[in-house]
Amino acid sequence: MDFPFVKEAISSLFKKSSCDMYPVRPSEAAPNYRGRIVFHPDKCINCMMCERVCSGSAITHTSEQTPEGELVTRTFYLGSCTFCATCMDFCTHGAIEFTRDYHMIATKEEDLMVSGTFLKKPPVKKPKPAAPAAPKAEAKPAAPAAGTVIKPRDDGKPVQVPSKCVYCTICAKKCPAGALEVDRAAKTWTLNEDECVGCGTCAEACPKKAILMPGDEPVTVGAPAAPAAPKAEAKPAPAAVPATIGREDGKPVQDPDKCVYCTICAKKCPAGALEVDRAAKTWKLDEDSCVACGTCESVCPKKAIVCGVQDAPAEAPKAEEKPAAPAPAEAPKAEDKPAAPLKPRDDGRPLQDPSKCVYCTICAKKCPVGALEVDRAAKTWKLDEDLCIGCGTCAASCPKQAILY
Amino acid sequence: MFKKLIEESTGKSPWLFHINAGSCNGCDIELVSVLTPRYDAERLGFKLAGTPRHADIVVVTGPVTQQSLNRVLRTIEQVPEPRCIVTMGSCPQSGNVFRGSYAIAGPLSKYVHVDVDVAGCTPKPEAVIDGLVKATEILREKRRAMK
Amino acid sequence: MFSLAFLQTALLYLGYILIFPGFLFCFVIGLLLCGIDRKAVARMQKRVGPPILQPFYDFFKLCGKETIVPAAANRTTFMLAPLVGLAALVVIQLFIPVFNFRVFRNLPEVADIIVILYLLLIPAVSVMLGGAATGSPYAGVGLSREMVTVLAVELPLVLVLLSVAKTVGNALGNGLVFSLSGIVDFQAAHGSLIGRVSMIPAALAMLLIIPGETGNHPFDAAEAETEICEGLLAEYSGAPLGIYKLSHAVKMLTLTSLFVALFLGGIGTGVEHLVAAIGLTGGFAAALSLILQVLILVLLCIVLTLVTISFVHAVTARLKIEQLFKYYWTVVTGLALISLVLAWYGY
Repeated sequence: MDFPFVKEAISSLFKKSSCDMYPVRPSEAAPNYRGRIVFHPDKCINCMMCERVCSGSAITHTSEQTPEGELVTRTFYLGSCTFCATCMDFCTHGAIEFTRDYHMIATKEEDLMVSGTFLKKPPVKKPKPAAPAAPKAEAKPAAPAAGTVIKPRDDGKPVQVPSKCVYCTICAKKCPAGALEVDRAAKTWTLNEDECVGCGTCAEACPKKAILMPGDEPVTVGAPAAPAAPKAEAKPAPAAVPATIGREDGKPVQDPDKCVYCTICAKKCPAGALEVDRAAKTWKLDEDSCVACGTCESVCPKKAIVCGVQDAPAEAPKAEEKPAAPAPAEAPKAEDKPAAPLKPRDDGRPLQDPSKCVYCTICAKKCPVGALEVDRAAKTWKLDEDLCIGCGTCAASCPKQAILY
Repeated sequence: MFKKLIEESTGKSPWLFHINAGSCNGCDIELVSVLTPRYDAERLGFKLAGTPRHADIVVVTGPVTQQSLNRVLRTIEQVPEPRCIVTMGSCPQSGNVFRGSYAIAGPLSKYVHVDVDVAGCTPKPEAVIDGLVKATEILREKRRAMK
Repeated sequence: MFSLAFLQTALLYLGYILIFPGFLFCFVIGLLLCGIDRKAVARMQKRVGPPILQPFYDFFKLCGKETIVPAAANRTTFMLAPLVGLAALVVIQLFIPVFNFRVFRNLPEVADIIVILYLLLIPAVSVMLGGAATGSPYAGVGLSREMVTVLAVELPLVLVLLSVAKTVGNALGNGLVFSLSGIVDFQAAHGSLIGRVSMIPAALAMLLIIPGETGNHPFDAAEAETEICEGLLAEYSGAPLGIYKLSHAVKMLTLTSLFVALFLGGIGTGVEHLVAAIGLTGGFAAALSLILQVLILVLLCIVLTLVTISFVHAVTARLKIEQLFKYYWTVVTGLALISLVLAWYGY
């Protein structure tokens, strides 16, 4: 038998004990210890973010309408808290604080309640900005008057720029307070003044920068040429009318010459308004669903979609590629090992140069759609014509410049 | 005088019984650490009992799952009077992050009277000692009220 | 029949049973030893440890707790078993001489070692009876383990007692001396037995038997609280549990004082002569020497407790029951056998 602790036991007998003597000698928690919550009701803006992120549903509130405003009492039940501090992280105004106090001993439930009451008084702040705000809200459905300057409000709440807005509803979805109501069909954008906490989330979320927050530049709604429908005027139409492509209503237009029917635009469309069939090589837009947000234009790897009216000659390469349009039908033939001098294929797809290729498989790994199959042992390089979207990634990744593109 | 002696002793010799009612083990570990050399609750007379029959204080950890509810209640009933029930951590007090789950029967206070809640997730060993000392005081009060 | 002399004798023996070597002495010193043990173990583990009086608090607290009798239990056995065990231990204490002080001084040639051997079984049997009466499955497991522990410890204990009896008998030239008073008398005349070569292995074996017999760490497989919920005591609560805890404490006193009587009997016997040498006589001198002898006994018991129970507790982990059995029947029995062989050849 082995007794490894004989020496330890005898020496400990004559040493000081390693005890902290806690109740006799008080002990402090470590610097970043998350103990009892302290709530500062004066800082709270009642955005409810803390309640949303709380995993233990430990945060609740009650509200009461009083003549001075809404009397909100927010309560933290420490008996349901995981002390994860997510509420503190999400609180933009620092109203929640975790202290190092760990003495949370209770004989009844109320002892574990931390709560604070504050008066939320929108009417006090409202009267001043309300005057300019009100007519704006009413004016929204109508066309903006020519030359109107839309300025950010000074009470910290958002303002819509109707000419830029595509009513995609993203702002309404992101609003933590649920203060926005956007109707895509009716093209309305309504702000609930009471609910809004002025956090600015809507402005950040807007893909068209159609929401102004304090500190933003005022926007001049230009051109009397825009009478009825609020259209995307990111790039106002220049004089040369015949040289432009694209639609006036900001909805996308496909360029069949450039389009490789990769379906990325259909997948990314937030409204699901696009239908692309790779096999049949069709590209269809559902006019009713489209919100003219421009997402398809920005995601297209081939720049084959134009939203809004644009300058035609800007797409210089288009002219060269245009003759290639009828090519796809012939492509399979051309792909059967062309003669001695290797030329890049004219359908935009990659071509291997066997003299340079070392079959390292990097191109196959990098291909975003998995259209390449490279076997190092058998020294084969195969392209799946149907999958390839002609993006050129393989050529860019090839360490030996063995891919012509 | 004998009664006084017993009452005095009750406050100095609380034996613990620990029930895990579906805990994640965080609280269980912290409870055991209370008995380690650093915190050494034995100097206050605390001792972990092996069976509920020997216990004075029942420490419940975990959110009281449907499966454990019956066992927890039966175990608590086996503890002789005077006894004291302590919930450790947020789970037995409210369900904590498991609140509303189909598998949770808690909080414990729905079924038995809970004497002391030690909040925290998990509480520091110091907080556990605080809670146990509080429970000991209640235990003494209960003993005084007997007979 | 109720003559004055009889009444006097009866009162005297009642005093013996209830106060001095009997109940009260056992109660105070036993729990004190237990408290010192707990404190010492804590200190060896670098803890502060409970106050020395902690076992007293535990006992009185248990007296104030509700006693739950399980529905499946035999009530009479359940309640009486702890008392039987405690009574047996108190009786053993009456047989163990405190150096020159003997309760049964009129019967010097009684074979009281054999009686002690039997009586030592009774506490174990009482725990087994009480535990079995509860009908708890944990008690069932504890029962079988307790039985194995008793079997394991009893063999070396018998051999140790035999070798002590043989050593003393050899020296006196009359075979085996089974009288504890005779053994102490012999040591008073010829020095403590621990000084003899043949007795050193026996003393070592006895030191290892003490924690096994009391059911202390690491030989507490029968009461393993972490595996089988304290085994036989699983269903006990309140005052009966307190009496079991008390029995356990008294057993520590019984076994350590038995060790003192067997191997260190010569240490305290000179006190009477010492007191006489100062020039004191009469009742006061007798009382003083008795007190001194008791103090020496208690001191020796404390030292023995620290060495055999606390120290062993602090440095070992609990043995499995088969390891325990093997250990006692090989190592400890081997030591006792060596001692017996040496004693037989007169060393």
